Amino acid sequence: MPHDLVSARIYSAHRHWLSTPSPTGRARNDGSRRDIRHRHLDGYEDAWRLLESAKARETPFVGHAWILDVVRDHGLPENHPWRRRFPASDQAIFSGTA
Amino acid sequence: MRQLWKLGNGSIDRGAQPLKEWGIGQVRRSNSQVQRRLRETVPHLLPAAASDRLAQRKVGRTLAPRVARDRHDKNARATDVLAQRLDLAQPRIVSIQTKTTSAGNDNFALTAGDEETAPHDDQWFVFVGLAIRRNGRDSGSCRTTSCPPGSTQPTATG
Repeated sequence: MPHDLVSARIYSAHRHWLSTPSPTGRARNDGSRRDIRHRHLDGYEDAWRLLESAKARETPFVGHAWILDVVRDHGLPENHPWRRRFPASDQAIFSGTA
Repeated sequence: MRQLWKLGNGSIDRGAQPLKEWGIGQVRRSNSQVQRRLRETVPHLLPAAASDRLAQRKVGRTLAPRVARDRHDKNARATDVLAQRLDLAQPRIVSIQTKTTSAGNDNFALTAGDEETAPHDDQWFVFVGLAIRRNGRDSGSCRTTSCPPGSTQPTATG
């Protein structure tokens, strides 16, 4: 999985998590932990062809389309290359939800 | 004729290798299962041992230059494996960072530091989910059917 995708995914997912209240209704406490779940990797399992075909930064996005929606809604890290060129979703998976 | 680096047992040998192969230039993390799975899953990766010498002098500084914190600090940032491929018209060097989960764990743990933008345009993450197969049945997160009975085998996601 390209580094830029992982960076964008965990950044936006963490901001989304911070924006939602905890089960007790309180604000979330920020921390350094980030995570990615197995289902967030759909499209990239055993996708070694991606590594063969192009540089990581030139690889098309082939994961779930909702991942791009979350990134659009919650932003990107500073200086992230997607700020200049956001990936197209024409090869994305259009099923499933976060 | 170009030659790929062949690494083994920490020493460097410049023997000729078949084309279409990746040479591992640096393996920072001593997770032998991950590295074994990388080699099994990607036949282009040479079955090579870590070579700090090559990574330091030939590959590491080129890919991810950094300032060493102390004299023991000699690794490339965000890099567990450096693989280089020299048989292309434009030789490629890729940086791979591996993340592993234990059997039955759905989450790959990362940190805020992983949000940083990649300094190089060919940096990848490889996520490896470990699973245990007991009595012919998978447990945990194994998604393949190739796990030998009684052994722990990872599944890899590139």
